[in-house]
This record gives sequence, structure tokens and C-alpha cells, in this order.
Amino acid sequence: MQQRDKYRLALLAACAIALHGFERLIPAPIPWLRFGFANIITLITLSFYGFNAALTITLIRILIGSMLIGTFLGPPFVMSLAGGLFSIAAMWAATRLRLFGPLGLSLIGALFHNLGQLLAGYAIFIQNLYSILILAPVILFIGTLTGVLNGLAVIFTMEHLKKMPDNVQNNR
Amino acid sequence: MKITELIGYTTLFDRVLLVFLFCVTGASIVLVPVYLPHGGQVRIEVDNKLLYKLSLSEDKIIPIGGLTVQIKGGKVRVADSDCPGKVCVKQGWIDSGAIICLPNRVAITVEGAAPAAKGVDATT
Repeated sequence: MQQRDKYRLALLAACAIALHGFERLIPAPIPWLRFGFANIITLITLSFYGFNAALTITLIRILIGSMLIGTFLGPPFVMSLAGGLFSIAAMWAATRLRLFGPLGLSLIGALFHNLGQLLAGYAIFIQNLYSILILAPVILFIGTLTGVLNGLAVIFTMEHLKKMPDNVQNNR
Repeated sequence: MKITELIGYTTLFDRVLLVFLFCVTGASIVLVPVYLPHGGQVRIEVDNKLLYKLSLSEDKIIPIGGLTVQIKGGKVRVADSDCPGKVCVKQGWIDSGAIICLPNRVAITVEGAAPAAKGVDATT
């Protein structure tokens, strides 16, 4: 990996942490409802730099993000980690299929992020299958909505990056 | 960049996946609570005082005085009782309504399940 790429990854990780932190400030009707804007950065990294870089950025984002917010090693941290790892694995598998564009990848990422969180939540906190089953469709539905938003944002950002003179994706 | 331009960058599979996810999650929001009707709670009151508030989805056997209350498979029953009439035992498994054992002053009510459970039953 070139030095320049390291700088870019650091910058992308910083963007992801900022989005992760600032989206907590957006008022939401349900406290644990998040937009998952950090997934925009993860997806861009995944399509420009590949799986390892995206995994690195996700781990940096979750570790440093949780330390900034103060949930490090707490329950939200475990949920966040489970969701992040699930979604990155699913999105990577989906890129290998070469069927989906950014929107589809974002939807898959949102879906598996929520599935991972639900699984972690069930395994660690609420061992009540009934409430998980009632909650899951609502969470997954909202996740689809935010997935569409993020997917459109990814398309928007990537088209702009491709137009830039210093081509970001040229040294993958 | 207009929103229609953004949509131009999506593939066919993206759109199929989007519609599929919306349909499945939207439908399951409506259907899951319907097909999981035994998710109510059991209130067990003795002398009009609430002793237990339990979920119907967890199997359990609770002894209360002379009664043995059993929760299994989303239903509740009085498995055994020391009262003379044993009306409560004969009532069997219920997933809505209530079982009242007057001699022991025990009332077992199922709530939050089917809407029918909220109606007043004149015979009990």
C-alpha cells in the first residue's frame, strides 16, 4: 500500500467517525434509530480500495467512535461491532457477485447491519424471541429506508469523485 | 445532479432488491403480530394484588398457594388445585380471557394478545 493510500484511508476513517458521531445529534422519534451515514464511507472505501481497507476503516470507526461517545466495551459497542462486521462481510460478498450497484450494496449493508445487531441483541441482552420477532420487521423496514438514502448518497459522492482531476480510484 | 440521474446509476438487481425488501419487511410488520398471537402477558393476582406478570412465550410452572399454574406454548392453565370444585382446572388451557379460582382468590388474566381477550366475559 502506498503512502498516499494510507493518507486517504486515514481521511476516510476520519469522515466515517465524524458522520458516526454527528448523526447522533439528529433528532429521531425512536432513540436507537440511526441513519447509518458512516456506511456511505464504508461503501466508497469498499468499491475503491477493496475489502481489507473497508474492514480497517469500519474497525477504526467503531473503536474510536465508541471511545469518543463513551460507549467503549459497553452494550452499544457490542451491537455496533456485530452490525458493522455483518454488514461489511455481506457487502463484500455482494460485490463479488457483480450484480448490484451502490444502491443494492447499501441496502444489503443496512439489512445485514440490522440483522447483526438483532442477533447480538438477542444473544446478549433480551433473550425473548417474541419481542425480537415483533421488533425485527420494523427495524428492517426503517433500515431499508435509510439504506435507500445512503445508497443515493454513495452514487452521488462516487460520481463526483470520479470527475475529480486527481483520480481517487486509479491506484487500487 | 438530479434524483432521476441518480436512479439512472442503479442496476436492475438494485431495483428488484429494493422492491423485494420493502414488500417483505412491510408485509411482515403487519403479518408477524397476527401470526404470533400468543405473545400476551399473564397477570396472576391473589386477593386483587398483582403477584406475577409473566410472558406467555416462556414455558413455566408456578406454584401459588394450593394452585399450580402452568404456562406452555403460549397458553396458560391451572394444572392442579386443592379447591373443592376444581372449576379452574377443568377450564383447561386458555390463550385469552381469564381463569378465576374463587376459593383460592386467584385470578389469572391473559392480556395484550387477541382483541377478544379485552372483552368482558359475563359468565365468569
